[in-house]
Amino acid sequence: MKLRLTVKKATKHSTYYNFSSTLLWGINISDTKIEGLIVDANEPAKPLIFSNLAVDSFCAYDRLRGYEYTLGQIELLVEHLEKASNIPRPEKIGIAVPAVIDPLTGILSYCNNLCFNDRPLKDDLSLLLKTEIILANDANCFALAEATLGLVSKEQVVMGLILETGVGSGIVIGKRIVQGLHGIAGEWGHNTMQNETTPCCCGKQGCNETIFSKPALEQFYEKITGEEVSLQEILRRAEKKDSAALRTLEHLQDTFAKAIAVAINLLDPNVIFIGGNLRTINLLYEEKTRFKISQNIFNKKLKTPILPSLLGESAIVVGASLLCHDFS
Amino acid sequence: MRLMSHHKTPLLWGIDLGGTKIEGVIIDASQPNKAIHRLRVPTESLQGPRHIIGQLQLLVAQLEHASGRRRPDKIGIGVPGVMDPSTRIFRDSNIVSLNGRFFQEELSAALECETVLANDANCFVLAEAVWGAARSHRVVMGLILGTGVGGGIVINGHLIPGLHGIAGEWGNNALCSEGGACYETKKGCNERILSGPALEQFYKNITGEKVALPEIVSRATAGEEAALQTLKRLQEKFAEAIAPAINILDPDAIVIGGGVGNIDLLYEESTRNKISRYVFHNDIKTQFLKPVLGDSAGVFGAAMLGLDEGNNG
Repeated sequence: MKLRLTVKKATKHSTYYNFSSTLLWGINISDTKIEGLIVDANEPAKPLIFSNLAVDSFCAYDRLRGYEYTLGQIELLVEHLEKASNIPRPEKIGIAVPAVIDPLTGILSYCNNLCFNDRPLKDDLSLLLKTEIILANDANCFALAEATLGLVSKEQVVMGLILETGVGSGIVIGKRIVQGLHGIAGEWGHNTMQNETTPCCCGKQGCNETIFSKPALEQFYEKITGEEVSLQEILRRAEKKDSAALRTLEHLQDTFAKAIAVAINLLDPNVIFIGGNLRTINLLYEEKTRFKISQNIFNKKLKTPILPSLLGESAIVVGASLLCHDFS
Repeated sequence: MRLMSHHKTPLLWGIDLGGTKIEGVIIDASQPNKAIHRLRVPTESLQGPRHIIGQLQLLVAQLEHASGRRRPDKIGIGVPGVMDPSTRIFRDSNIVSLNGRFFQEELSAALECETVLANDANCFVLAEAVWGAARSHRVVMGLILGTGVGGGIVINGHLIPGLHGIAGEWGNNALCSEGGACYETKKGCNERILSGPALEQFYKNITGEKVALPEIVSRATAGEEAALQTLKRLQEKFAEAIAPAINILDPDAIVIGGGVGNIDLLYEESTRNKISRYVFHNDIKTQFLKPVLGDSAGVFGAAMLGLDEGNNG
């Protein structure tokens, strides 16, 4: 069993536990790992305890492990957080999952970790962990974290994009997640684009996710060069003016601009944050990209601030912890 | 002059500024379905901004006279066009002489009270979302499918104006199957395909005959091939156009106003099935609703703008 268990203790803070303040517990279940943290509601950007359980084989490829195994891993993580913090688990824990959650039934769908699909994860986990579980889509958690920490004023509309293996987003208005009737609000990654026919995991063709997600960009580069390289390497080569790499980035710029314009025309958010691996690509924030977006919106000039995630890697798990917080 | 009895709830004053007429109402928020007073004056928009503002002054004076009340501290006004929230400059209005002006400031000064302006499509959605067809729903998208194509978003009874004041403007989004957007020509925009005039043009291209939309609909009911083709196209394109809005906002209900919104086909199961093909969900349950407030929705929504600060868009 390949298990890595790491606990980082922020000693500077742990000596100053203020038990009168609210501690929030959050967990993020991604493709490759389960991470958990405990934060102080007043300072969510500085986790008191951070625990990271690397899981390399609970996803679809390993049919032997599957659902029960993953639940067990989550339980292990919660126990670990208890030990590390010397605090018993709270009455509720927020959990982020890369899935659509049916708002009525709580059943998961469209989850990359196929073992979760059609399962009532919330109920099963509540039973197992003997505490209330608040589940939310990972992009929704991301947007909640950015909306909370981004000093966004009360009524503003925040769109938090995740650009990584998938393309998705969360929408938060007044620090409340807009979940949507079917639980799909923010799923602009599955809007389709003109002249694109690549099959998508959702069953359609030409979804934004098949055009400028990380794997899609890597495939775009491979199509030109015949060479299979990581996005990181493509970015390095672009800096050295490799023409195929530059073309790949231009492709990202053009298609991202068209795709996000649709969301701006519809929702016209007050601010857009970008998370996921692609957030570090400076090109996305450049004036030229903004100009390309403005060509497709119902306004001559684009004023929307488009910013990289403030929290980086931890944004989703911090957002998960904030699910437990009452902002009212 | 007749004196009104004392109302427990505050009375709301709303004005709907249109290209040909200006309508004003006084309503009781607890009984919004019937206006206590309703008056109209002609806009006479060709005579310019000063005249239009004068007509608005006249209307407010007439409402005071009819009701025996002084104007309230705040009047909501539905306008064709958008007030840019950051520059406060009025734009995109079909009453072109109003574009480029600080119209809200001018109105507040002329009417000697606070005015709250919102786009007329937003007023329509606000009224239908709170008092009309979608009153039991929380996240409501309203579409206007008329001469133009626009819309608005109301969440928990509040308008979402948007940073640029364009929230709900899906009419400018492009249809993939029509070649995508072009900012210069706007070829392929939803508006160029789904609006009433676009459908009439499509019918004319087949038959050579210029016919109004209601006539096309009745010809389709009678089984005429060209009319059926026109409606089939509307259904296909509407499905493709509304899907991104469902993927992004996933509203509980969508109210469809305007002349095209009267077409029953849009509310049928076959349309829902076509929409599902483009949405990130296999079995969509979104409610598609016909408006119930009729022509009054705009002015009722305008009156609601006076209720609180949040509804300014």
